[in-house]
Order: sequence, then C-alpha cells, then structure tokens
Amino acid sequence: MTARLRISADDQEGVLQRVIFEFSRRNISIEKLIFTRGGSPCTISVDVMSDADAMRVVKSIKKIQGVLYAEHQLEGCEPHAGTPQTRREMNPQEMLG
Amino acid sequence: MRGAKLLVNTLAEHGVRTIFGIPGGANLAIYDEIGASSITHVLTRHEGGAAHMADGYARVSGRPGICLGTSGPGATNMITGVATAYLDSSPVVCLTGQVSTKMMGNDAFQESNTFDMMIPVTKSNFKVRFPEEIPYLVGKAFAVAVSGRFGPVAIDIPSDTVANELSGEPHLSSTTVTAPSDLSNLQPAVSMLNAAQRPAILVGGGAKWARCGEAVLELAELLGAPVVSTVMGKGAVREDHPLAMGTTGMHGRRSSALVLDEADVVLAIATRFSDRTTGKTGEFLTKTGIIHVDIDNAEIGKNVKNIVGITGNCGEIIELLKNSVDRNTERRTEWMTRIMAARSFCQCDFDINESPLKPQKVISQLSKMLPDDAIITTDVGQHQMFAAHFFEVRGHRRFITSGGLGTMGFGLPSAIGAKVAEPGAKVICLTGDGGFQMTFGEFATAVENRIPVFVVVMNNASLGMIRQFQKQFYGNHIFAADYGRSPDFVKFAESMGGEGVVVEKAGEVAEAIRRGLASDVPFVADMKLDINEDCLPMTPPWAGRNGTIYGRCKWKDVNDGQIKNFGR
Repeated sequence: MTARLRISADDQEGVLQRVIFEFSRRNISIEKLIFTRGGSPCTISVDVMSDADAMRVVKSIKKIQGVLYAEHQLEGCEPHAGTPQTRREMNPQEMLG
Repeated sequence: MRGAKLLVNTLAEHGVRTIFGIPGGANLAIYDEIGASSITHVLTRHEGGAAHMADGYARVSGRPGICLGTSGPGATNMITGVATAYLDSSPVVCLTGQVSTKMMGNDAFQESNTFDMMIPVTKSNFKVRFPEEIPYLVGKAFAVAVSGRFGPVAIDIPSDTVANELSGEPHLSSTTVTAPSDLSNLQPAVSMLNAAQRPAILVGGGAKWARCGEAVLELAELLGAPVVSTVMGKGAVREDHPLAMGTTGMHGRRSSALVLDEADVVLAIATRFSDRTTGKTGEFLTKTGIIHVDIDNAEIGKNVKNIVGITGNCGEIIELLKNSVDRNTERRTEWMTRIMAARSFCQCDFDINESPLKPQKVISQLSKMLPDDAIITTDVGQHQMFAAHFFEVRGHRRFITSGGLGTMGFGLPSAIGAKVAEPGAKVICLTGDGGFQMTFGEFATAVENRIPVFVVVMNNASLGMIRQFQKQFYGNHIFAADYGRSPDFVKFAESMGGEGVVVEKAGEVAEAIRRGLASDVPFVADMKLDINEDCLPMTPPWAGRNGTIYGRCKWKDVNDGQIKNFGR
C-alpha cells in the first residue's frame, strides 16, 4: 500500500527539485511522481511506501519557498500510522557521526 | 546600464557594505562594478573562506552576509560554507558567477550545475535569466534569507546577464515573505507552566537570532526555572545569571542534565533537538511535559514527539508567556534550592596548572580575561566542546560555532567576518591545529585587510576528537589522527605580517592572551597542549546518563543517593 502527497506550488525553477530532495535527504523512496504544469500554480503528486513516510515529510515540504499547499491524503491510511518512525536501532559506532 | 551595475546598485540599496569573495572569469563584470562602488570588498584566499566570513558577519550583525565567487570551482568551493550557514540558520546571500546562458549545458570551461547543487544547502535559490530581473531576485533573496527561520539563499548569475546592457525596464521588487505562526497551543502551554512543580527552560540557537536572551531570563525568574543551553544556544543567555546552568548534550554539564532529567515541564525554545543534544532519545525527557516554541513549524514534533507546539517568533512568544504565566517562585522554593545546589557544585575549578599544558587552563584564562563584549568563534573538535562546557558567556559576549554541520575550518574566517561586522569588539578565534590548517590561508586575508583577529590555536598535534573517539570506542586503535608534522604557526603568522607566540607552560598563558588582545595586527597564540587530555565529561549517544565518561569531572564521585539529596 502506498501513501500519497499532493502539492501545489508556484511554477518557479527549482521547486520540483526541492520537493524531490526532501524525500531523498530523509531516505524515503519515491514510488511514483506526477508533475503537472499548466501555468502557475503547478501540481506535484508523490506516492511513497507508507503513511509514516508521508507524515515525516509533509511539514518540510510545506515550508519550501514557492510551495503553496501540501497535504497527505489519508485514504488508505495504514492503521496506527500516527507515530512516524524516525530512528531505527543503530549500533554505537554508527551513532558517533 | 549593464546588468552588473544594476546588481551592485541593488546590493547597495539593500544595505550591503562589504562583500567577501574571489573574482573569476564569470563574475568579472560584477567585480568591475564593485570596484567603482562604495561597497568594500574583502579578497579571500578561498571561496569557502568567503562563505564562512559572510556567515560570521551575519551571526554578529543579524543582517545578511554576502559572498561572491565565480562559476564552477568558485561555486563548489562555497558549498561547504553555505551548508554550514544552512544548518545553523544563518542568512548568507551567496552570489555565484555562471557561464553565459548561451554556453550552459555544453560543459563549458568552469561550468558546473550550481543551481541544482545549491538546492539542498539553501533555503531558496535563484538563477538570473535576463538582467532586468536582477533587482527583483536580489530583493526576494534578501527577504527570504531574513524571514521566518533565517537561512542562506544563492543567486546564480550567468555572465551575459551582467555583462550586457538592459534592454527594458528593471523588474522592481517589494517582496515580503511572512512566516506562518500558530499560537493555538499558547493557553495550554501557560496552564502547563503554571501547574508545573519543576519547570525548566531549554534554549537553542534560534534564541540568539531572535536576540531574546534577556526575555528568556525574565521568564525564568518568573517561573523559578533553570535555563539550560544547547551548544548552538550557548550565548543566548548570559551564563553568570544564577538560573543559567550552561550547556547540555554529549559534552554538556551534569548539572544541566540533572535539571532536564528532573523537570516535570520543559519549555524548549528554538531548538531542533539535535542528536548531540538529546543523546539516547529513548531516555530523553520521556516523563516530561514538553512545550516546543519554534519559528519553523517543521521542527515541531520532528525529533521529539508528544509535545505541545507553538509556532512563531520566539521573542514574541516569550513576551506573551511572560504576560500570561503566574509568578510562582514561592511554590517552587524546593526546586530552586536544588537547582542552586547543583549549579554551585558544577562551578568547578578547571584552572589546571599542570605540565604539559592542559586545554582547560587556556579556556579558564580566556574566560577570565576576555572583555564582556568579546566575540569568540570556534572551530570544531575538542576545543569547541571544552569551550562550550567551560567558557563563560557573560555580559554581552558572543559565542559563534558551527554546531550543525560541524565544519572544521570555520573558526578563522568566521572570526574575520565577525570582526568586519563589529570592528570595535575583540574577536577571538579558538581553533585546533587541525581546523586552523584547513583555512589558515585566510590569516593573510586578515593581515592584508587590517582585521586584527586573535587566533588561539589549541595545538595538540592531532585531530583530538578523532583520537579520543578511537581511544574510547575503537579499542585504542589510533590511526590517521596524529600529525607527524605541522607548520610553525608563529613563523607562519610572522611571514604574513602578523605576530605570534608559542605557549608551552601554564604560567605563560595569561601573558599570551594579554598580547593577543592588545595586538593591532592578527595574532596567533600557539598553545602546545597535552595530546592525551580527552574532552570530558562525555556521554556517548547510546549510553544514557549512566554511561557518562567523567574523567576529571568531580561528578564521578557522586552516587545516586547523594544526587537525590542535593539541596535538601
């Protein structure tokens, strides 16, 4: 099951890249991305693996300069997805840097 | 008018007085106009230094610092400096030359895709397409840099857009960028603070940008709450205040950790709860009510869950809280007594007069001798954590450090930028021999531009923190941490027109500092330190409080029962 984010943004250079980077810097795989420009604003629809992943990233996408609106569509929401997972178990040396 | 003149005029209209940078083929038209303008230019030795200088300038002045490099390597050299500013929310405006729009994409000489490379390390960035839009883009860059959570903005400027004459009217800008606020949790936060038995305040780097340190202390006095700082928050509140507990985190004070452990409500102001602050997250404030005030809504709930979040300018929110909470110090007498006892116990004597020279001695002497309006910048490593732990930011002292990206080489250029921003202040760069050697070419920049910064090199002939980690966590397998040979830093300074002194004994430290502060040329004090002195106490991120390595710290002799009886 995938989760979807719908984003509306000013059609300015760099907005699409910034949205994509928000996923990659959090190590979240993008399953599908649809970018539609028909004047301003443009729309970006992104599918990721889980609601937890979508919830981790939605606030950061909202603060990108040029993004007007971003929401996590709750249809098909996984049960108990309210607590996003941000840390897995790490071995000690991994935690030093 | 050509684009370059329009650019320089626009920068001047935005109050730019100094640009740090290096010319190259793609930005020479801009340099041609800077030379004819009232803007001062500081010619740096590396574009990375220019970015750090702009960052240091911004952190002291609160206004955007400007750096300028050419295309390709000029731009890539600045990325570390821009990323440093990004992680520490510093408003740097980074201008990069670019090959002509007609050449872009052809792998032209000194071409790199600067626009895309800057995206992950800037708050926003722009590419100039034609000269007429320069005023609009510059206006937007300045507005974005200092709106909401501050941050760096980059503008990539193809050479034809500045070399050519305008063919139309300039696009003017009246851009304002507003940051959303959400005060819906203000009243619940007030109720939590009023009901708290043991409130505490955790203050992060954003409080320095908001210049709200005095308001934080006033709120603390109203609440009877101790104030603990993150490393980035160090300097937000003056540490000679009786409620100021000092820094917390991996190398923080035990008394600060104790306060956070025992508080029933923590008001966290403008901190992002970095892993260096929280340590083992499973043990961080697990039974505590947390109110998180931050200008960046995305930080609220990111690293620490189950919080009451308030989004907005922390200075304004603290004023609202001050006007809303009850004065409740009488009910918290027991808590305050305990805080005072812990704080008092933590005021240890670290003026260690042993041989070989100890880093604690140098920090102690700096803490005693620097004026109350001094600016101290640090590099990254053991000396940085020694300073975060021991150096007292009292009065109007400023503490500038790369706490987010942890960029070695930040110390000297950021000190130069700080001195340009506030020429009347004494500016001290506290660096290690490793960090200094990463950007010490900028010492020549300081001499040439008559910027008398005082560089204190904590020279233990090694990458000290790496050595310490290898000793403690890699089975004492020391590898690639020690320098077999380093320059003579005093001769180095003298060769460039500066001055310096070597310090090997505890008794020589004070005189070296006196000379460094009095020098009217850049000055190096080469402190030859004990290579074996680790930066302790330290709590490894996986260990929790019970895993703290104390070293000399006297808390090592205090058992849990004694801690329970503190102040009782």
